[in-house]
Amino acid sequence: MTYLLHQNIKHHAITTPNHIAFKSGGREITYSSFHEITNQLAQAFIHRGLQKGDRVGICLNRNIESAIAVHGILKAGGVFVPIDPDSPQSRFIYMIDSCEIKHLVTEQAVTKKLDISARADVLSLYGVDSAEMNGLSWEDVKSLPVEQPNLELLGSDLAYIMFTSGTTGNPKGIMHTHYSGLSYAKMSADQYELNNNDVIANHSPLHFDMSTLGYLTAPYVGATCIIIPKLYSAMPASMSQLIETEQISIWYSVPLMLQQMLERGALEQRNLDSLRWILFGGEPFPLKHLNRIINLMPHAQFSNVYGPAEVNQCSYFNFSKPIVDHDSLPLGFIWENTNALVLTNDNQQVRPKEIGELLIHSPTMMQGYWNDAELTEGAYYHSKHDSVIEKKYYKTGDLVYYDENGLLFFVGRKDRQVKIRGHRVELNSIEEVLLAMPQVNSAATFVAETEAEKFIVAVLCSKKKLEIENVKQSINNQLPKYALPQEFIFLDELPRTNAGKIDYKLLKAQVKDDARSN
Amino acid sequence: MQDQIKEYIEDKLIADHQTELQMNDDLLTSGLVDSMGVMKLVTFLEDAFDITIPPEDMIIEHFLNIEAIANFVETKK
Repeated sequence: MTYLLHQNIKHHAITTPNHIAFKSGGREITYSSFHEITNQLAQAFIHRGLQKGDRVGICLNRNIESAIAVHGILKAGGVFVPIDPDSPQSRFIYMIDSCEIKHLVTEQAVTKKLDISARADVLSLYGVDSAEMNGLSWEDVKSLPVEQPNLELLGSDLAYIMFTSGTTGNPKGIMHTHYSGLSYAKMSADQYELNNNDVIANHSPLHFDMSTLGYLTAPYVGATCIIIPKLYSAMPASMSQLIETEQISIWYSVPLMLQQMLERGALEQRNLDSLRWILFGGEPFPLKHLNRIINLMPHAQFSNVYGPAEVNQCSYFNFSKPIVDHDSLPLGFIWENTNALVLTNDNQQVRPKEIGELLIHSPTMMQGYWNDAELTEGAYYHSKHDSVIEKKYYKTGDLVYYDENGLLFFVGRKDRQVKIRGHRVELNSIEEVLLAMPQVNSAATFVAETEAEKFIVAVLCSKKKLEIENVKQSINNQLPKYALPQEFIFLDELPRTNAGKIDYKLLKAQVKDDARSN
Repeated sequence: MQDQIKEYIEDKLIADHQTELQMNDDLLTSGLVDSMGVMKLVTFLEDAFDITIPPEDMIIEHFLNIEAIANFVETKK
């Protein structure tokens, strides 16, 4: 029985030793070598005093070593904590301190940027050759015994902590056990019928929850995972080339990557027949862009993947034809072995078409937030609703509704629902209306405040110059008066997080700065 | 030309100014330059060397390291 995230690697190393496990930036590693070096890394941790449950930081770019680090840490009984190599120094230190990290897997390109010596007295480094910072190079690791450490590990043991980007306050550390992580690996493999012939393209940095398909599901089924380096995001033509040369069968990214390939990726020149599934998630996909992509990839199936990092994934909407009968893309259906409740503010179940908050009970659910019992308790809702056993539901903070056919639709984030002059307004629905204008490429809205009132600011990106009056005219009769943006700003591009999602925090700051400099 | 490109990347694209780049330093996997950086770099190359870089030329091979960028710019002149 498989109950640990790294457990199947040994099996693949025996049955398909020469099959490629991970590939990145022109380098690759077979299952046999992957099994060996992750064992050696695990030996290194244990040799240097790692105890079961200790947190180990991974501060690496998107490369093969990042995958070796993940499974080496798990094999040693450690808990991996991805740290964005582009973090500001303060966030890096915050994560090292709050997780009491003593072991860090990193690389020269990172230690050049981040001042790791600030914690040199506590840290043991792996992957860098540095005597003064207690570093152990990969060459050193490769000289260690190749046997897998024999440890008593349980499915209920902690496996990883993933920190959210933290739009407000300190980042929250989402704790997943082997059980919750592996449940996701099993359920995603099942949902998309993944097998060891698949070549899975991973676009997401390790600290972003969408990376779990590539880093965890792929080695679970024995597939090949292509870890796509960051620079590809700026080179859609190379990205689409990669689909052809690597014969990628499973694609998983935020909508932005697909949109960029559509605009600048020379997709029509590529043979895209290897693609079996295009999975996307992280934020809503504007239908007009999505439909154009579907037309270019007639052989692929598409799936709208939804689920907060706290539950990994919880719903799917599969389709292979352009969406014409809905105004926005449905979240679709709750996937197997998962319970969903949609509740109103006073905890009543909604009627069809009525909006409520989505609550999820699932084996893929997190264990809680690292070191924060209060926040953890507040994240759940306890219900005896459909069972004699009390069930814990994770409150997603997402507003949804069911249509008359039982299809689930996303409305917006609870915290993006704002009150303007007493009216409740969904910022997401305003964005949808703006995006429906053919000239508008991307759109974002937020609330600004003067002493006297709150008002909505719309930020638009378009290829051709847009006149404010035209925009106003075309949205006037589609939105209630109070929901009309009062200020329009035009930008070439929206700021993005390095996972490719719209960065609202940065956007607000940018707009403020611009206003000041004008 | 290589020095000019190197200077631009070091001064404008890399946050900490201590880092000294080598001509064959891997820009691809090192994470030294991000996607916004690549966009800025392209604009710089177009202006400084009076060339046009169409989307289909925006491929990894042309931006692997400073040497590759310089070779690519030569072909566009």
